[in-house]
Amino acid sequence: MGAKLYGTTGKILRVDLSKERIWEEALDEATLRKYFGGTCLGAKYIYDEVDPKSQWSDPENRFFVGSGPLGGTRVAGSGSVSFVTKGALTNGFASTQANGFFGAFLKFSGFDAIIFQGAATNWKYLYIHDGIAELRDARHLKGQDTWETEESIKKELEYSERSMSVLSIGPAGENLVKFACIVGDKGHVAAHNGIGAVMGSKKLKALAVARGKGKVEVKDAEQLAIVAKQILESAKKMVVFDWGTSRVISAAEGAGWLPIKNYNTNVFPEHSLFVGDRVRSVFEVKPAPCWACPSHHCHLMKVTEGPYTGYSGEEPEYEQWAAWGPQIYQKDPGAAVMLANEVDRLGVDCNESSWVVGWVMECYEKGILTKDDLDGLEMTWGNAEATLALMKNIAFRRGYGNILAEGVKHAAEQLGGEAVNWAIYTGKRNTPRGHDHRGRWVEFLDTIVADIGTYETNPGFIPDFTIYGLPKTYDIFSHEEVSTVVGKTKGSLPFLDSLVTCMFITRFELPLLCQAVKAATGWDVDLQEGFNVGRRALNIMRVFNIQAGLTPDKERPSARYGSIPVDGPIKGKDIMSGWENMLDNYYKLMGWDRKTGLPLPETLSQLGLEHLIKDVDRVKGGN
Amino acid sequence: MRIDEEQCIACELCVPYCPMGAIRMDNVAVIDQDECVDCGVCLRTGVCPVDCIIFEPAPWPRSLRAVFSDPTTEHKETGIAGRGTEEMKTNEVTGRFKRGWVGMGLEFGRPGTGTRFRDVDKASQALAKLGVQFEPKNPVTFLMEDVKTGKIKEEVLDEKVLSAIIECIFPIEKLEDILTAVKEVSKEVDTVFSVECINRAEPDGSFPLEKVLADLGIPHYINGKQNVGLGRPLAGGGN
Repeated sequence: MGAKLYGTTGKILRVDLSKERIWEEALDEATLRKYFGGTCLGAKYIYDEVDPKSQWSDPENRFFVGSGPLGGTRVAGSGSVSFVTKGALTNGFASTQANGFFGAFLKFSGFDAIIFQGAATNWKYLYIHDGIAELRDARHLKGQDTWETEESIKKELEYSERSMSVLSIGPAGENLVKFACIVGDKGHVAAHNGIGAVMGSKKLKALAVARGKGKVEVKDAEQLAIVAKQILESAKKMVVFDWGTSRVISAAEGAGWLPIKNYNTNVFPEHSLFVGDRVRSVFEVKPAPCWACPSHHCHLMKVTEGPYTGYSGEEPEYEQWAAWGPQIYQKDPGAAVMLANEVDRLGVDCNESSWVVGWVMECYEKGILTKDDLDGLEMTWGNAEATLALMKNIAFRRGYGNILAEGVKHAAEQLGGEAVNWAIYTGKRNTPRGHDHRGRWVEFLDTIVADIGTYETNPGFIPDFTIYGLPKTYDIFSHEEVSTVVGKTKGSLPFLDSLVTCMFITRFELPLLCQAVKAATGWDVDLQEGFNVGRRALNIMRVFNIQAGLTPDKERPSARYGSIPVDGPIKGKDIMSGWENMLDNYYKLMGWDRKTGLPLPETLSQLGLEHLIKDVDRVKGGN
Repeated sequence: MRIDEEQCIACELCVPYCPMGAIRMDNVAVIDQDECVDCGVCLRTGVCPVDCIIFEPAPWPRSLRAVFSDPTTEHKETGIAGRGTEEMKTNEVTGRFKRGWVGMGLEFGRPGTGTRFRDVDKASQALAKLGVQFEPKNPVTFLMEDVKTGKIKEEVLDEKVLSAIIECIFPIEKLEDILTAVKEVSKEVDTVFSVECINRAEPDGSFPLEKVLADLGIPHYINGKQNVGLGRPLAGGGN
């Protein structure tokens, strides 16, 4: 053993599901300092141990579940957890996070991360308590939704609500739906790139970690408490702190980035029915915060008007409101609460689901898909009950749901003809989050070039552009300025996800976050080092993904995704007219070869990734 | 008050609500049992999002903490909620304070400091030596071993409460001696306390106490109370 570690536990739990073997692995400080935890550490392991050319469902795929050096500390929202694996939708890297408690409780149990390999013969779940891990029979949990699974496990192991954290897949993950997600702590979702299907392919139904009596030992607790408070003060200035994410719905509609009717329009006057301050005053709400978090973001919600009066669940996040309101042209907030929760329970990503449902509705309206094609469902715009039935068909792979379960790109290409032009997707098969990216160009470009299966940077999350060497503001519809913002800010979000803290609290103050890392670990981390951790993760993923076939020629939107808005506030805005220039600029700023998409040797060297250069050379050589 | 450490999510929302500053963070929120006065403010605010703040009625002598500190708790013995007796404020029900007499209240502790009965005891013993009569319905009086000595029962001395009030009466002639003794004992008291002297106004509207206090050089302010009811005050009675 080396020097005493602070902040991190220096231990990883290894689980071989094929052999039903569990062991611990020690991490040295140099490795931890280089990769931190969460996303970056996960990227290293996936790169080192998974063949990029293999299928995501190969038992040799690794499934990484990790906290980071701030996990379980006084920093608000440090209970989050990051998942890294070869994802089911793109068959490239997946990195996606969920908030809640799991990360903190895992650290209390003495582990920074868990890495699964192999596949179980019968359904299993992992149970960690008092630093001990065991695989338990989960055959009786098969078919249960994500909330039921959590309740069942807590009941059978006799844990109360907050003395255990459970992450699980629903029927969608069991049935290898390509956009199945993982749900933890009743409503916190790690959504992107089909990670629920990866769990399903390993016959891993759930992970349960008991809270235990342990705690995270930090280098300077007093200083960390001070910095944690400063981070919080900064977060309080943001609207999410008081109102959650749904407060931005009206602003989104006004700015043209609310997704409406499958990108057919940019006008949705009913936005005011969905906006956060209204629904919170009309519906019954109760706070349901995450680890160490005093913000008013997460709530439980009970519907008090309309046909779904009495329905209880979690308050939908912005993306769920967007998915189950405007995107499917559904105008009852109560129905959106119902759909958001039912889809979470089935264990399906709400974003991809909404692009699938929106596309089906458009096909139905235009007569391309009929009631007969859809197993009797009348998929008219806004039909909430039919949507729920369709989502169940997808989760259980019944009827046409079996094709839709492959994602909107696959389904559209399968159907062929004009319908392909109506589907929203990227060439890599991933899809946008719950936005109309035609009014949100930074995320548009980012979603398409990303290697992570979703977005990697976000201008709304960057209050101070000057720390990236950028001017304070930029023209949101300038091809050049937008691509410069994307190229220069890449790294910040995966840095957060390598510390594994909630972005709604910690994204605002990266310099403070570096101070928090120093107080927790004793490492004298500056902004550049933190930023490099994020960039390191992205470069590892890039080298892997190119080998997996996710080459630059796939970096294009579908016809509808890249179309020109016909009405509303962003009418006529055309991102595709400058697309190639954007890519050129982006690749230059990333230090990547425009043709092959691969990082240049000096880019890798600057990030301490010299060991990848030989792989890059091999790929260039065509082997 | 206690926090269920298996349910607490460390959000710190409760910390600023504690009038005694007795909640600190040690991974999760922890209540210092010695400093907590069981006032229940943390619980009544409803601030805890996971409802993990717990009040379990404590056995004697800790039970005193809630009784004295939580204004919603009624004293079993007196049937009165709070720290002292209603009469002190109004003098209308029993007419306790008659002309020629002084009612005195010593209010120990405030939010932020609280008081232990050990400090109350120092003052009650000093007053008893000068022959005051303690108010029988006052909850502190209930805690005395002997009202003659003013000694408070040994087992309650370390109990801490948000506030406690000694109430007594004595002839006005003793005022100077008593105030001198109170000044003296204040040096040994390890918390804050305020002194109230209650006195019926003369028919001409003057206050006999005012002159004595001025002579002693004690700064004071007057809270006037006036009976505006329809009945004749019991304190009247020709005195």
